[in-house]
Amino acid sequence: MRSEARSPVRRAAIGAIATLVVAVIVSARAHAQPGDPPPGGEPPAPGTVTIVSKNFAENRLLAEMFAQLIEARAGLRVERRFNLVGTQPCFDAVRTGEADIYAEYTGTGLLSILKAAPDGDPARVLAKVRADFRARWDLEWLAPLGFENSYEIAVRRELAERHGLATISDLVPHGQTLRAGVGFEFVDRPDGLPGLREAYGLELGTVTKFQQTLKFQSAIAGEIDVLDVYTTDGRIDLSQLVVLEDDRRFFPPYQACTLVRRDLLRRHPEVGLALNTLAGVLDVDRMRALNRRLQDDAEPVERVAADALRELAGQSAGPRRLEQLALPAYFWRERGAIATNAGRHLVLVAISLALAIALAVPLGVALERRRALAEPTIRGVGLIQTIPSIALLAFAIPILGTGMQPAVAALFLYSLFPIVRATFTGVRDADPTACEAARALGMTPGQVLARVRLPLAAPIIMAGVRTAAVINVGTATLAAFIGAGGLGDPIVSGLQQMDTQAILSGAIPAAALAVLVDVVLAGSERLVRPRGLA
Amino acid sequence: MTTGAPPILEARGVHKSYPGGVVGLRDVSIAVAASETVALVGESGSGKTTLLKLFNRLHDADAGEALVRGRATGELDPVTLRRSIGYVSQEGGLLPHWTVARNVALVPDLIGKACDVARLLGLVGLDVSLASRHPKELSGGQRQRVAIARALAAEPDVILLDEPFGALDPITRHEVQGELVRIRDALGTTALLVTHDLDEAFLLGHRVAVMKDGAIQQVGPPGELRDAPATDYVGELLARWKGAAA
Repeated sequence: MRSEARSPVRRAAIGAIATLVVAVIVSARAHAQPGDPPPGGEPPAPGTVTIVSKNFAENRLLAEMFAQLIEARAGLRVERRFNLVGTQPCFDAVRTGEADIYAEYTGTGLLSILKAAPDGDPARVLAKVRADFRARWDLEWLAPLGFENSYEIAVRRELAERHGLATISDLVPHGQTLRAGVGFEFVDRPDGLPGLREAYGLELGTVTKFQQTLKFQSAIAGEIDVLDVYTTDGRIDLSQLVVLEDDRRFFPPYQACTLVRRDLLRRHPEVGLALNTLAGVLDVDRMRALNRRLQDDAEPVERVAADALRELAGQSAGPRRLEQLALPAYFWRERGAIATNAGRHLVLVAISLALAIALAVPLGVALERRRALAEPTIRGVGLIQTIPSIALLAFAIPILGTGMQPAVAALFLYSLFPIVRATFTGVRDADPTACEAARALGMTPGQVLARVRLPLAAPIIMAGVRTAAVINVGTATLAAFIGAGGLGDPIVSGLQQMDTQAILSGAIPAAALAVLVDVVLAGSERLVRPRGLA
Repeated sequence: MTTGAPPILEARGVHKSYPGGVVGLRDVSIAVAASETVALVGESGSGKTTLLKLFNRLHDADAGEALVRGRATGELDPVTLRRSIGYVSQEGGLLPHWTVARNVALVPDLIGKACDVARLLGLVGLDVSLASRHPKELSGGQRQRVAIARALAAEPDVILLDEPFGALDPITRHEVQGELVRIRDALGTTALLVTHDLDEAFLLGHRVAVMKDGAIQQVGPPGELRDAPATDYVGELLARWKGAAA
C-alpha cells in the first residue's frame, strides 16, 4: 500500500519539475522586448496578413469574417491559423508579430492580459485596454463589434420555473442543493467562481469541471443544474436553459473587438477601413443565431462568415441547412479534406520523426561509449515525456510561434526518448562474445561499432523508432490546437460544434494512419534485421 | 629456450588487480617458446583468463610486463598486435550477422590480405559448402572449427585459446581437440590455452601451468607435475583428477 500511495506523488513531482523548467524558458522568452523579431518562424511575406483565432466557434467565425473582408476589400493575401488553444497563444502571436489580427474581448484584455483589477464599466475598460495595449505593445483595439460575450450563469428551465429563479441572487438560498458544472478556467478565474462566491455569497453543493460541449450535454441529461455560459452561445436556447440576471453587475464587460497590430494599420490603412465596417453591427441576437448555425448545423465557418457579411452588406441570404448524412457518405463528401489533413499529418510525423532519429541514434551510440552519462541523460530525455502533450505544445508557441514549427518541435521532443533508449540498450547489449572476439581479433573501436554493434542493434533501434512513430501519430492530433493542422483539425472543431461525424473524420483516419505507419515500419524492421539473427 | 631465441610470449612479475581491490594476478612469470603449447589450468577466478588477455592487450598489467616476440606489449599498438595473434573464445565469438566465409576472412580483410576460405575450412575439416551459412545454421562443433579457422586465417605464429571447447559435448570436444593438435603440429604454431579440464590440458599442453588465487603454483611437463607436485594444492588437484579418471 505504501509504495502505491507514493508513486503518484513522485510522478506528480517529476511532472511539476519538468513543467517548471519549461515555464522558466517560456517566461524568459516572454520578457523579451516587444521590438524583438519573432524567433524561429520566418516573417510573413509582404502583402500577407496573418489572422489567428481561439479554439471556439464564435472566435473562429469572427476571424474568418475578418479574413474574407480583408481579402475582398483590401486585396491582400490572408493566412489563417485558427484554433489556437486559448487567449495566451493568440495574444503572444500578435504581440511578437507572428500574426496580425484576432478577435479579443475587452474583459479578457483587462483581466487575463493586463492582470488589472475588475471594473464593471464597459467604456472605462475599453479606454484602459486601448491605452495600455498601444503603449506596451503597439496594438490597437478597433471599435467594438456590437455585442458582449460575457460569462453568465444559467440554470435548467425546469428548475428556474419550479423555484421562480430570475437573478443570481435568487439562486443563493438554493445553492447548497445544486450541482454545478463549469468550464476548466471558470473554477479559478477571479471573475469566475471565487468572485461569484464573494459577490453573492453563493455556495454550491458540488462543482464538476467540464469541457464546454460536454457541459451542455450534461445539463440536457439533467446531471447538472447550474453552469457557466457565454452570452452569445447558441446552445443556451437549445439546451432548455435560462440565463439568470447578474443583478449585482459582478461579471466584467466582455465587448468583442478586433485586436490588430498598429504597424499593419500603418502599412495598410485599407485593412483598418475594411475591418471598421464591422463596428457596432453585430448584436447579441445575430451572434447567437450565427453561433447556432456553427454549433448544431455544423455548417462550414467559411459559409457562415460569407452569409453574415452578405447580410450585413444588405444582400440577405437565407440560412441554409445541410442534410444529415450517414457516416460513409459524410466521409466520402469530406474525402478531399480528409486526404489533405492526413497528408499534413504525415508531414508533421515524418519531419519530426526524421529529426528525432537524426539526433537520438547518434546520441544513443555516443552514450554507449560514455556509459556514466547514459542513465542521467536518458532519464533527462524521459522527463520530457512526462510533460502533458497539450502543455508542451502550448509552451512551444512563445518560442516558435504558431503553426507547423512548434508542432514539429514538440513531436520531435516526444520521439527522442524511445529511440535514444532503444539505441543505447541495443548497442550496449549487442552479443558480448561477438563484440569481444571482434575486438580481440583487431577491430578498432569504430569498426566494432559500425560492423558489429550497430548491425546487431538495428532491429532493436527500429523497434524504438516504431514506438516513437505510433506515439507521434497519436500526439500529432493535438497539434491542431496550435494551428498546425492535420487530422486533429476536424477533431478540435468537431468537439467545439458537438459534431460527432467531424470528430470521427479525424479520429478514424488518425487511428488507421497509426496502424499503417506501424505496419510499414514493421516491414523495414525485417529489412534491417541481419539475416543471421533469429 | 636453450637456443637463445626469445620466447614468443613472456610475462615478467606481472601484478594485476580489478576495481574494488579484487586481485587478478600476483607476481606471475611465465614464458612460452616458439611452437610450444602451454596450458593454464585452475579454478574459476584463479587468473588464467586474465593472464591470457595480457598478451593481446585486452588487459594491461598494473606492474611487471608482458612481452610478445620479445617486445613489451605496452610499446605495441594494440590493434596491430591483436591482428597478429589468433584468438578463440569459449562461445567462439563468431559474428552472428556474417556468413562463415566472412567470419573466417575477418582478420585478412582488416589487414588487406587475400584469404583462401576453402583451404582454411578444409584445414579444420569442414566442407566448403558451409561457407555461405550463418553461424546459427551450424552445430556447436562446426562453430568452434570455424572459430579456429578464423584465428588461423592471417597465419599468425601464435594463438590464444580461452576455453575453446568448454561448451562442446565430450565426443565432439575430443574430435576438435585432435584436429587442433594436428593443425598446430603441421603449422608449428605457438599456443597458450586456458582450460579447466585437466584431460584437455594434459592432452594439448607440452607444459601445464597450475594457477590458484592469481599466482602460478607450478609449471612443467605433465609427467613432472604428476611425479613431483610442487605444492599440496597441485598434489590434491592431480590426485582428484586421477581418482576421477579411474
